[in-house]
Amino acid sequence: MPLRNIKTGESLRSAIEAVLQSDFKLIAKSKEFDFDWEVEKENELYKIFLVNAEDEILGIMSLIDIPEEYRIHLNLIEIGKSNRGKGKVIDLIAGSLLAFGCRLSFARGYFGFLSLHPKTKLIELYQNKYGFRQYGRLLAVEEEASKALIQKYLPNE
Amino acid sequence: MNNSEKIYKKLSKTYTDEEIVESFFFNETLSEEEQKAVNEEFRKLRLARLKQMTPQQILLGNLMQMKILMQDYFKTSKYDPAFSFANQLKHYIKLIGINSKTFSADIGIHPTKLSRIIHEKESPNIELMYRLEKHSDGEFPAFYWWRLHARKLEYLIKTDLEKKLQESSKVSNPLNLSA
Repeated sequence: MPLRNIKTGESLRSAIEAVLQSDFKLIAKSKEFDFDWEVEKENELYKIFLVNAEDEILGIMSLIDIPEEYRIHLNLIEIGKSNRGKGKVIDLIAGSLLAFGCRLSFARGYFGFLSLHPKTKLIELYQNKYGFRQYGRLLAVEEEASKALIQKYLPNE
Repeated sequence: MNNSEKIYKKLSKTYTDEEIVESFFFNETLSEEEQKAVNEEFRKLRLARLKQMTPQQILLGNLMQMKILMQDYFKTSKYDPAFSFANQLKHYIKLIGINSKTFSADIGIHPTKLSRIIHEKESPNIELMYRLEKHSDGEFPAFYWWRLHARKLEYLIKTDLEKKLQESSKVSNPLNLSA
């Protein structure tokens, strides 16, 4: 899945894999992440990295599988400090993780359904940027919108 | 101030809302009771949505699942009979919900030929793979079908030792490249 170097426009090959026990040391040592990822251990955790720099985790995602409701709940995504805000070097990291969650949801037979319960103030922004729609107090992507995210962020899958 | 509000306040000191949305997804923090109510409300909405899904939406989801599992299979190096060309074609026909006769007419091949391919009595050709790509509106490219077929061929070539010996016995004057 290609990420993009913002300065050069270069496409960067990346991979998303499950977080291993040994990764928690890397996460702590890098000082790139503010959230306490040890707390998320009971959930499904995935990391994204460049294929030529496996030890440098760019972003982490925590998912909760809810099979009885045919959905995956997006509990947390955090992108490393170096790639946030105005100073970021690599783009499309969060979108790639999000699309990976949608892909997992399709693979598990949940029709691409991925839910999120963001702060009210941010709801409209998540809707505009990623195509989430409102379900009560939660947001979700599913079906065509979920497929569109996969096509946009994981085009080579 | 709840936990998500604290996180948001902290992030807001450095980033705009747009920048937060580009780098973070975090959940609203609620009391246990509030969370329970939200979960229950959502569960009802989700189950109602599942009941309302049209056959077309269910088909899209099922075909996406088939495609993604196929892609994941391509990333492995093993041969899995569940992912043979014949079994995946059978699965595809089942998902689209039409009988073999109608399907064979739709892709322009004789029903007997389709049956022979599905029962692995005959190998598929490239023409059929192009037709499957067209039939699936491009969702299953011809090369996906080829990969399924090629994976099985590779497995057979590696494991059919009897055939290997049989054919080896027909070769005269083989090269001897060992030192």
